[in-house]
Amino acid sequence: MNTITFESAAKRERAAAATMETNQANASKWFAAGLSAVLLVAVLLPIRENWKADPKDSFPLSYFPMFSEVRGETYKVAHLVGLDAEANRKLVSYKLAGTGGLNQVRRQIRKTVREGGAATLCQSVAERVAKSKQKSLASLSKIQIITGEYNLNEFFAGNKTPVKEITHATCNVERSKQ
Amino acid sequence: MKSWWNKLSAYWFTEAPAKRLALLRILIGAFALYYVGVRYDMFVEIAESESAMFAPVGVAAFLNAPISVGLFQAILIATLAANVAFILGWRHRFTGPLFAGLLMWLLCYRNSWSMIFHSDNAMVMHVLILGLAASADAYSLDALRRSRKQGAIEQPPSWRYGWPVRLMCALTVSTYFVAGIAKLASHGLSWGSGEALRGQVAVDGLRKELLGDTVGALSYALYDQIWLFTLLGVGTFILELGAPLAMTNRRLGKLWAVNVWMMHWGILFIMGITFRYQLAGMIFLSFFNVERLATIARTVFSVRLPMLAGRFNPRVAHLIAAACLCGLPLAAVESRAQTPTVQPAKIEPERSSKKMREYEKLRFDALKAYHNPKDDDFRKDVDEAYRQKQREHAEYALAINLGDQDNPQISRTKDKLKVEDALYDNLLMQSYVNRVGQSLVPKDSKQLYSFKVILSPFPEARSLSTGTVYISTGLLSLMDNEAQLAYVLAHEIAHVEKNHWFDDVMIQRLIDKKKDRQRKINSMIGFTSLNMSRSFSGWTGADQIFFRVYSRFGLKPLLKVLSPNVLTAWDRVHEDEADNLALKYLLNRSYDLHEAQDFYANLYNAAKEETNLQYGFTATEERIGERAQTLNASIAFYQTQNPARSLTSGAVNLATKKERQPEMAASQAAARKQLAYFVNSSSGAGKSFTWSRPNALKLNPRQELEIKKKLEQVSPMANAPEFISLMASVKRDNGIRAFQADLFSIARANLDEALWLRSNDAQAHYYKGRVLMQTARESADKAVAVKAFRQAVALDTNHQLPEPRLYLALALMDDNKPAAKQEAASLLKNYVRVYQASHNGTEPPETQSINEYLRDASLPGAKKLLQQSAPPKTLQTKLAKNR
Repeated sequence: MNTITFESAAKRERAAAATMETNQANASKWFAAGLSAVLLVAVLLPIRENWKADPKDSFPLSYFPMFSEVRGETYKVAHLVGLDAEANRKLVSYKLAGTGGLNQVRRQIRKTVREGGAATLCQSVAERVAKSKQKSLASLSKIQIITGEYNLNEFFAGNKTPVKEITHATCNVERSKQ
Repeated sequence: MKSWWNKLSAYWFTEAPAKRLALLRILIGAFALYYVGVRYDMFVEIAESESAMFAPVGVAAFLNAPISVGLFQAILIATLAANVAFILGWRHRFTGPLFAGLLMWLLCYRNSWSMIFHSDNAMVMHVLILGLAASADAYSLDALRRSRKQGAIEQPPSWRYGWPVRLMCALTVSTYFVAGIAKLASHGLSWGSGEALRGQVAVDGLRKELLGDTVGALSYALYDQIWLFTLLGVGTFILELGAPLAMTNRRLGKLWAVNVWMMHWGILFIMGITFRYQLAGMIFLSFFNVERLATIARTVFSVRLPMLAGRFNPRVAHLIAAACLCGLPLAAVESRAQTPTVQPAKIEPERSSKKMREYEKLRFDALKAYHNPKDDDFRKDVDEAYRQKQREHAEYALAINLGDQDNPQISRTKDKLKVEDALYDNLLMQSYVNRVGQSLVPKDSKQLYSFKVILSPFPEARSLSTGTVYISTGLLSLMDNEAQLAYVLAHEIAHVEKNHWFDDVMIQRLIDKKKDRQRKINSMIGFTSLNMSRSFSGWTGADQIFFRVYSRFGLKPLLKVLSPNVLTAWDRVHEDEADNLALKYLLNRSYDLHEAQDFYANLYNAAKEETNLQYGFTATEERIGERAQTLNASIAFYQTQNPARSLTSGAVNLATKKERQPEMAASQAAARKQLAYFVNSSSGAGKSFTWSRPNALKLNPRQELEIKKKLEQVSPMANAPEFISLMASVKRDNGIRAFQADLFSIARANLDEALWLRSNDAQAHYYKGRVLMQTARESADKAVAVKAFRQAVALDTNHQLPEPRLYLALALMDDNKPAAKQEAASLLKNYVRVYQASHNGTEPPETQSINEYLRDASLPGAKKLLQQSAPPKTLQTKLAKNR
């Protein structure tokens, strides 16, 4: 009798435990499903930006506008140019203008120029050039901040003369004598 | 509802082994550690950037300003520490979400500095899922600890390990789908044509090249392969918009993942864009049974490196091997050559227009032909033509040197009249201009120069191949100071030093040569083709068709070369070159470069006032704007080289005196404003061009000393009184010449300025009266003219200038008052007397008319003067004609 009673109790306990586990599992699944849905909707929601008058990109929820911008025949780039004593031009890397990747520094240069800070930027690049021990920079005597506008087709056909060019700032590379 | 839930549950909560999720945690965690770790310094530098660049995004958006660098560094270190715990699976319930949160914040903050890196998005989301899920139930310290407590129990496959993997796949697919929608929204289906993608490739290549990075290896090679871009465009559309299909079937998912991975490698090769998380394949790991990597790794490890395999715990060895396998693509990405910080410019300075580039090409071709040892004929031809040009210039100089200023030669060419120029007979001015010019000639120049002033109201300056430089009184009269004169002379010297005349001759010869050759080919092809078309077609319209086709394809290159627009571009290239070199010469003499800008403002003003002046040095308003813009850029280049702002020692600046004259100052300010507006609106530069001049440059003691020394070396060329006196004469004489050429505005302005500089100049007063009288519309204008004549008469104490008396008399004749008539009669008598005194007793040509007038008016003194009859119809007409 007692044995039977014990067995039944054990079964009931196991059954109750299994039910509880199932309920917990279901609750966990609901939670996981809810979390999944929230994350998926969050990732898809920025699609709306495509139809806004003033779309704004964000991170990590982005509408991934890269490669989707409409490009014209010409394109403007604000960049750095170095000049040696004979005024020969050399392209100076963006790395001397700021930190981050090329596109980050490019945007920073553009923003700086647009806000009238070209002279300051030019000076800071010139100072970095002056301090640099790289041989390739040793011949530079001046730094310029330039915005060049190029015809894309012509540029890729080998004609690298800008359609228009604006020099925003020029400054000397002042090297201390040692 | 239940069946729906069951279906969804069966799809979403499929079972997966704990090892799969654990391996994803380790591999993605290791990638994150590498990604953040190697960028530690860069992240700190970014955090040190100017706060103006800060544009917070994501979870950092609540910040109004950047946080302190110290705090950022602390968070960065905490992130790296949490990252290590995440990889090791230590206290994952706590460290997993912590790391996910810290990484999210860190990368949001890093993306808050003007640029969002779209390659980081998926990594952050994947870490978030792995941090929240039970990803440390295998291959972790937590699992090790648990196995030690409970015995070595491997977790069975469970839905707990399946849904996070599924979610990772879904998020990956969603990001590509969102990117595809962005392309569709901006370009529509036309994005698939590949043209937009080609544009992106071009823009990306241009940015990289100008900013000193490596351009994608295949960018240039493939750019013209439009079909390829169409293929890529369509392919990208399929992969991105069709991404959700990858969730429907595991095999399809794997296929999609491999294709997208290859697409990223294609982007890397063509555009050089490095999406590290994608290229390393991390983003696609969830589509595969990554636990099999361990098996593959074990095989590779034991076969290739049996010695090492024996040294490690098999589990650790497998993990290392799996990480190495996954790291291979990343290593390939990172092994790309580092770009140098400086490289020779592949771009060229602006030549502003296509036509000018065509001219440059023409000049290059001509030089190549001239120096071609196999083409002696061309060289001889050019040399002979240049000698001929020099002979012409010598003859021109001769004509000017012997020309009579008072009786200029007038010649007619078809329907055009030309007045031969003559030298200005003011020796002081001639000497002064020559001195200034000689001081500017470069010391190493082999050319001998001569600088001369010609009497012409038109603002002109020209140089001859023989080294003679002419400047007109018209141009001189527009100058405020010696620095401006120096700029013009330096510009003309630069033309000679640059051999522009030789260039002209050489290019003209090349064009002639091409023309001859083309003519021969034309006649040959034309003859043959016409015969053929007549023989074979028999159609009467064949000739016209041939002509059209040939015109379209055969003649076009020739027409392009001979286009007049190309020819006009010569001048522009030469002028810009001369301007640039002129600034160097100015600097050598410590002249203020900004005076060249101010000079252009004066020119612009003159061109607006008197449209007849719009040629020669002045040109049109538009061209003045262009030159001023070029000059502005050159000055920006030079001004830092020599910050000296001295006009030159001893010279006076009339501009500062002008500023005290409200009318002149207003006119000059308006001209500067208009020109600046013109230049800015044409360049689109906004703030790039301005007439505002820096008042004081901050010089360090060394610079001040250098400038002082330089100024000490400069010998004085004109002291203030000399310059004022010379300019007063020039402005008066040019005003007179301008009056004679009916350039009344410039005449009046010149005479006003001459009187402002030297108020006791009787001749200037007299001609000012003439200009006013000639153009007077109202009695008030006549009154001013009368006043000017009176002043001229009053100042002519030596009785050397009889004419003011005559014209004052003429002006008074209109007055009906008897007193005015009396005064007019008296002035006429006075005029005859003074004229005779200054002309050795010769009577003035108007004597007869004057007598007539005096007699008709029954005025006293008529008898004495009356000599002949035949009176003119009206006295004024006759007198005006005589003068």
